[in-house]
Amino acid sequence: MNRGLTITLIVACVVTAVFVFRKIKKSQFKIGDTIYWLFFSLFLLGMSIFPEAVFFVSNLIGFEATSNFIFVVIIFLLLVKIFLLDARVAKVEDKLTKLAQKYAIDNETKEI
Amino acid sequence: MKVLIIIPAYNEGENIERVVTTIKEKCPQYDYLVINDGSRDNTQDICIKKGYHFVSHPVNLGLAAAVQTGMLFAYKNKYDAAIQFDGDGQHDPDYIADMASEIEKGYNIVVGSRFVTEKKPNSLRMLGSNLIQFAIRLTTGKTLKDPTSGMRMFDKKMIKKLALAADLGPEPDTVALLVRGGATFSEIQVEMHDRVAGESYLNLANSVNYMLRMFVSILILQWFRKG
Repeated sequence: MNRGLTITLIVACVVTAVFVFRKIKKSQFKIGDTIYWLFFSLFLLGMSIFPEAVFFVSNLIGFEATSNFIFVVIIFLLLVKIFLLDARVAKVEDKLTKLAQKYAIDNETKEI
Repeated sequence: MKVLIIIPAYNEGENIERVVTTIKEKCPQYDYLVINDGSRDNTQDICIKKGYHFVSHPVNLGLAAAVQTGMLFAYKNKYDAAIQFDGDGQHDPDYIADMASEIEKGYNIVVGSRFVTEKKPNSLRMLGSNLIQFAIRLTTGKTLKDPTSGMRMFDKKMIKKLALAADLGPEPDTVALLVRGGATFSEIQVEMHDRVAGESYLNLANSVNYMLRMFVSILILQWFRKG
């Protein structure tokens, strides 16, 4: 892994962490949701500190370049997050629909 | 003193009648409010039929939101204290008066604790309790002997915070955050019953997730949150 990628990972880690802490400060994030991003950030830091481990796994699976392996891992983690978010949005939409319907029926107006 | 007993109930059709009857019998001097959290069973029907004091969420919003609805009601109606009282029959209303008198002494938070005079048993669940207790002592310097007890009473000042703030759920990290923000607390010895009917949501995955959330929240995020 070249030095540029290492530095990029460290910067990404710090930026993610700072972003999470700022959101928490403004109460715009739920505690449970921050855990994913904090671990994500730690994971980036881990990869930049122990490139040998990343190199080892990358070779084991058969990637030609370690950087490709890192991209694939990050894309996978983001896909998981999108998948979970998708499920959550569906649930929220369903609840919103039910709330709006209840409000509508409770406020039924009859024409005279 | 005006005390509100908040009873969050999600699919507690088998328990709710017994819980409310016991409360009415043992604590006639206090008000209660059942928060039916979008139950799919007959919880709401029972409340209507029996003429209970209740509100219903049209959709399920979760325990934290249900308790917050109770706090909002307590705040709007200027209650001096509000207690979370589980709808599954684990809590005993006998202790509510004792807890209320602690609030009268000036404490902001009173916890119905299983381990003030009793010793904590050695089980996996209590290991979790000990770890959370340790985390809270580390950040607040105070010892909360039963951090996971859901039986908590709050005074007027705390009711306002809990009613209006975001993400202050009925969990140990909330107590830790409030204490770090200057709230005082007292613990009184209580006995808790096992669930009579229905099932607990506690399993391994949930427990690990819970511990992780508490630790990150108490040890890391608390420094960035407003107390």
